Amino acid sequence: MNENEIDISHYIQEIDPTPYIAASWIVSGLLLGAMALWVWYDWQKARKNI
Amino acid sequence: MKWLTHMANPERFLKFAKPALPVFAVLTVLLLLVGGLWSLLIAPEDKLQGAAARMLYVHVPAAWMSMAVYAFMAGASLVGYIWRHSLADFAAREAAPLGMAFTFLALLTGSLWGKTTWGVWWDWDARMTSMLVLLFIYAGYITLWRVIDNEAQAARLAAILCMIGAINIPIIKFSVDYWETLHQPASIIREGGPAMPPSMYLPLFVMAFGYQFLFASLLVMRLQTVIWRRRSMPVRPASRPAANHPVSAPQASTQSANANPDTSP
Repeated sequence: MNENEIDISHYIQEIDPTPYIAASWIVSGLLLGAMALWVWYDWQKARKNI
Repeated sequence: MKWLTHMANPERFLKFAKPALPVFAVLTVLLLLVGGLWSLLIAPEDKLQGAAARMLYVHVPAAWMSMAVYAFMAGASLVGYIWRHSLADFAAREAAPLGMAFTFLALLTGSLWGKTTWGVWWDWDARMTSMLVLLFIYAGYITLWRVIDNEAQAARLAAILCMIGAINIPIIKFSVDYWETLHQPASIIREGGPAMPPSMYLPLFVMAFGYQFLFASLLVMRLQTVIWRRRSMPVRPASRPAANHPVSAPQASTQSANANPDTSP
């Protein structure tokens, strides 16, 4: 173990991680999806005006 | 450098973008689909953290991208600042909201992971604090572009801010080595190879490439949007500085042809 590292092993697995895993994947999908949708929408608008 | 100069011409960039975009888009979908299924269904659980380690596959690529996009912006800003290639300035400007979204995502998913692993949503440790600083630098950079009306001036000031802000990137990278932090030391990009088995780092790399191709696709689309939009704009009076506007309508850009002929359409 790195001398600067704190021992966190006593915290691990005290909480059921399932909802947190689901939330992290859903939030990632939604945010990246929204970003892609915004870029695509603006791209389509500009393309129509060429 | 030759390739950068070549791509600084908007016509050449559009020629490159047309076939490249569908390839990037298909690779994005494939990599994220394969990486997502591999990470969630096939990759093993971590010995210590159990299933919680499945957050690795969305958190780490977002964190890598937040720094990679910023490094890309700093490089583009340098090119724009020194060689006055305005397409480089626009590339940095259009990359910023994407980089900010990746940074926000890294902080958000990190917070969720932190709660399950450390028992806290947030801690002012060096890695998290320097990532938050990165988010603020992105916000400052985007704001600077928006508040300065003169585009050439905005590009130069934003480039200076971006290059100064790049100091934060090595701070983020090495924060876990030099300060006492809840984060573990580098476990993937480190001397001696990754500290995890291939069954875990391979899906991680697939996800990371998926994020990279997503960024590449979206950046190409943003740059196409900027070029098309500027070409369809009515010609402005000559009072506005045109030397840094090579992607403007062809008539307007004739004034800039002598300033930087290679970047003119």
